[in-house]
Amino acid sequence: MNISSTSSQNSIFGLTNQTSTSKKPLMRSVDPVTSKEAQEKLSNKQANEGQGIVADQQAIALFEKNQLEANAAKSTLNSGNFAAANQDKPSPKNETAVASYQAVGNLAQRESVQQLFGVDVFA
Amino acid sequence: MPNLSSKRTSSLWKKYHFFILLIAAVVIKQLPLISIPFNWLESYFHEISHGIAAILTGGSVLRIQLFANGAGLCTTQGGIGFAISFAGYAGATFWGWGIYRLASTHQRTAQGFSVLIFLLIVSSIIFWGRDILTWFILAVLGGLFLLTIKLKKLHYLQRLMQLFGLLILLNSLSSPSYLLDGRNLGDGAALANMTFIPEFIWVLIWFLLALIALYSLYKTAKKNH
Repeated sequence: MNISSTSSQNSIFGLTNQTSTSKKPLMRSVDPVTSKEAQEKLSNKQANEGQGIVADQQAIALFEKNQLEANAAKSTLNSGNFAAANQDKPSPKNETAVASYQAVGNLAQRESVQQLFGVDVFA
Repeated sequence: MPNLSSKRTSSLWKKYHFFILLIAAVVIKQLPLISIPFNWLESYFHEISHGIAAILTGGSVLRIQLFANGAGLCTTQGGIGFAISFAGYAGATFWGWGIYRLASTHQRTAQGFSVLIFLLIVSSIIFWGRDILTWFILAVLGGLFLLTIKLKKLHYLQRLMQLFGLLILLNSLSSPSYLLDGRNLGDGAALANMTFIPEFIWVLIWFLLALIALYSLYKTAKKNH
């Protein structure tokens, strides 16, 4: 459960980064642009000023990394739950307890068998 | 005259009753069918002696098995092996001697002892019998003692008990000799393994014990009359 919640936080964190970049105000020029050259100049200028959609490579890499980690953790958790449901495997602690219990039972059984064979027959 | 005759018969009986009963026991032992329940009687007292010895020495009886041919088995757990092995033949001798002696003391004592043996047989059926043949044999023996209890004339009960005692004693006198068959089986072989004293010595001891018991009964009978 802890792993799952952590990974979800990470993914949200990654999304937040992306959102923060995309939430930057999109400033459109209202001035009429006549030439292609002028349009390119304007777009370069807007980019340099921090306006428009700017994709931060580090943020994308971090997001992708977090996403991968989250997916891996989720798949591990899912496979663990599936195995537990299928095999109904008790925890090692419980297994030890069951083994100890069975050992005691076997001792009693062994004693009864020994008693069974430890008899004398007189004619 | 008839009165004189009956008095003479009574006197003869009083004088020789031990020998008369002994001869009757020897004859019964030779009879093919009639001897069978009496062989079972000796076999039962032999096995129950093993069982009692096991209980007295801290062990327990798991099973008593009796066979139609007069053989028997007693399965025990724990206890002192030597005492349990020795008790079979020695115990049968003691039972035979005890039954005769107690029956000779008083008619009521004979009746009481008969009831006790009957209860012992019933207990054996309940606790130690595990198969149909054993139950059947024990039921026959129980019936035999029930018959003696039901006898209206206690005098007959007394004589019958004495006869049973002598039959058991005669059986325990002859039975140990069956062990000398070279197969190293039975109580004698078990004792020989435990003590390194040869089997025939043990057979001799049991035979002598039965002989002493018989002689003791003869002496008592002679002293009483």
